[in-house]
Amino acid sequence: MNGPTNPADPTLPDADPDAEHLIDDYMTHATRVLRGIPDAERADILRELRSHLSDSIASRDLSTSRADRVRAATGHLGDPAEYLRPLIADHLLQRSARIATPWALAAGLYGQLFRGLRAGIVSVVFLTGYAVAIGFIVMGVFKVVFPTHIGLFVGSDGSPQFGIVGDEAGARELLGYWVVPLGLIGGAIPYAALTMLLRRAAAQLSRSTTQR
Amino acid sequence: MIEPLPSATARWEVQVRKGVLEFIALLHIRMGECYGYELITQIRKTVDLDVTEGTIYPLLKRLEREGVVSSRWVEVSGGAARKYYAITPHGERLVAAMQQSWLELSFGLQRLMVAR
Repeated sequence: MNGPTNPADPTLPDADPDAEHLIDDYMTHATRVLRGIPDAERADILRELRSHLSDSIASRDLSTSRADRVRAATGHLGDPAEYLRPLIADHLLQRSARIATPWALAAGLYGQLFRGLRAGIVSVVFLTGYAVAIGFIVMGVFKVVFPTHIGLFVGSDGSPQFGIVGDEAGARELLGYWVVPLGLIGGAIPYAALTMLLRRAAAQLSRSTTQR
Repeated sequence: MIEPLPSATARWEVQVRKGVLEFIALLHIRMGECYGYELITQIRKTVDLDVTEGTIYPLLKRLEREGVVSSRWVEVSGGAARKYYAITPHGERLVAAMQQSWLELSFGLQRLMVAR
């Protein structure tokens, strides 16, 4: 049986409760998918998706029920978690390059990992670079707390070890508290340089991946 | 094992069409302001593209962010408002450059195909 229709706007909630539930469920899902996006942009995208559904529903065969037309329209529009993924990954990457905090960077680069070979390789290179830079900074900060475990050590057999090490009998630390400025500067400079490079790479990655 | 010809051709066609989605979208927008649903419907008529309609929105967002297209909301009497996209002067130059590049590629391919 066909549900009542509102030809003026097929998404208006006076037509068919089942159909309206389907639209509401779809929009709720899309809202959830877009939760990391700034409010204004999210509202704009959701408004556009609702507009798209309205046009798509209106273009369907009127001899079918409204709920069926909504199902067809949402099916053709696709799963927001799938088609909005490039948009969200781009947003996270742009945000990470802008604010450059470790968590934002991790989220932004992780989002690019599975967006094709090129984006994946670029992400791995940046993630590795940031991990090394952060490692240096951590060493600089924690040298004060664990002076005998962080630094450049020469073992009893003459083998050098640099970084965070466990207790080793006979090991001698060479740099002393120079590890603090060396670690902080040696980490901060690559961190800043990587962030500048990431800002350039972000635009190119976005260009190459929204066409996929 | 050798991939059957129809399957290999179909896979290649999908890749080619997806690769030129941005170019096709811009050519349509250059012809006149249009909204998302209208655009994807036109694109599907132009090229038999097997992608979900939502795929167009991340592309449009990026083109807008890069200043290639501009957008405005237009109220529709008695219906849901539509977001119309128009080509910008920068977008016009980009499409012209893409068109030139496409023609050169196409010409080169044609010469190559008749050279056997």
